[in-house]
Amino acid sequence: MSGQNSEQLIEVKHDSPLYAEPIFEIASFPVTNSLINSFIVVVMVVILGFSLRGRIKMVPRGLQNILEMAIEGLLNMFDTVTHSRKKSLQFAPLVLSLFFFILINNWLGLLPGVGTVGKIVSEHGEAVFVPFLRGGTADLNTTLALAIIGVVMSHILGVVAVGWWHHFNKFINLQAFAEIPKKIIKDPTIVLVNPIKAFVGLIEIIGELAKVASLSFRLFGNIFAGEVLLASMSAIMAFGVPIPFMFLELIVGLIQAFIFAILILTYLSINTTKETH
Amino acid sequence: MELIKALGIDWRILLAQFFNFAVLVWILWKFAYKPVLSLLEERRLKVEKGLDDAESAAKNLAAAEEESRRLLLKTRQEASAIIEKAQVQAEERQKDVVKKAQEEIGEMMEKERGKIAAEKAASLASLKEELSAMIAAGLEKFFREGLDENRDNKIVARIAKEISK
Repeated sequence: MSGQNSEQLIEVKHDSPLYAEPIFEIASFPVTNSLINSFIVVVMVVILGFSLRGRIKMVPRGLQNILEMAIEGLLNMFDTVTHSRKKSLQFAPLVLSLFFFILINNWLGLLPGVGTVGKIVSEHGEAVFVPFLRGGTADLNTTLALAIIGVVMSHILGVVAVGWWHHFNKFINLQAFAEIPKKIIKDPTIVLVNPIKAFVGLIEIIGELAKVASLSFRLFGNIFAGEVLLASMSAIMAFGVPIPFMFLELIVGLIQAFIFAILILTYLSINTTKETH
Repeated sequence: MELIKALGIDWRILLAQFFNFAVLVWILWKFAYKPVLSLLEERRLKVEKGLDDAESAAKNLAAAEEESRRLLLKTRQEASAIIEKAQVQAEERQKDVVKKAQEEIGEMMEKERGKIAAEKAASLASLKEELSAMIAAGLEKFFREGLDENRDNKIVARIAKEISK
């Protein structure tokens, strides 16, 4: 549709940028199209929550059935990671919320109108199409926020579960050095082994940063790529061709939400377990 | 910095997303997880209790059946014992009655025998009396008609002969 009559129409750029564009500003706070989508998800969940209030009954009906099935099924899945129902229940609020939030955001990004309805703004002398809505998880800000929440929570709960000294020593291993004089007579190799342990601890710090990066980029990359893919398919042939890819993206959205949640659960589970050497 | 700008990372939006997610967790925790999880737990306990109840009920039933069977057996045994006892008693009683009857009969026979003997004796005595009276009367008659020597001797001889016989 663009560039047909370039003499009369201005060329409109239709590429999807990596970042979410601001739609409007509230007191210099940029409200981006992805942020709007996330707000919509939160509002949906709030409405859902309030509609559920006081409607949870012993004999389940309708929505409660689905919710119970999802929660119970996921809890059973969590048990295979944590190996304890108590831990699963402890982590469930965070991990389930991550799952549902990401899932709804992923799927909401696939709705018709998201990414296609927008306005044209002029940027650097070029006309650029800016959609009003963009999948919440197709913005690195969202996925980064979620990844930081997950990893930071895993450290907070780790400190709560094993004590700050023990947790601190997983990264900056002062204990490994403190142990050397005590055990050196019994086991002289400790002089070599424990500095290595301490060094591994330092690498773990980088590992924690890598966790955040990998979590956020994986989710963002998958969802953003999906949207680009759908956009390209629609550009080839808007009727019929994107449908199989739509199904693919539905599955990708589910799988990515699940992977994100299970990885956070794994981090939580590892950090709340005492290391045994 | 270039990368952060290229990816559109904005700390304000990051904070907004933190806030978003916090609200979401809170709402879900309050209205979905807590009631659903407590409900699931409650239901699990209920089902467990139901199963336990069913098991104990089955156990009770089996025990009751066993008890009733035992009682029935005991009752039967008691009943047969009572019947046996009754039979033994009846037999004893019958024996007693027969024995008593026999004794009574024996007694009566003895009595009768005594009576008969007494009667016999009495009749014999009266017979003797009558006979002696008759003899006396005969003798008187005889003597009144008188005796001759010859006749007298003959008679005496005969009597003596008879007696000596």
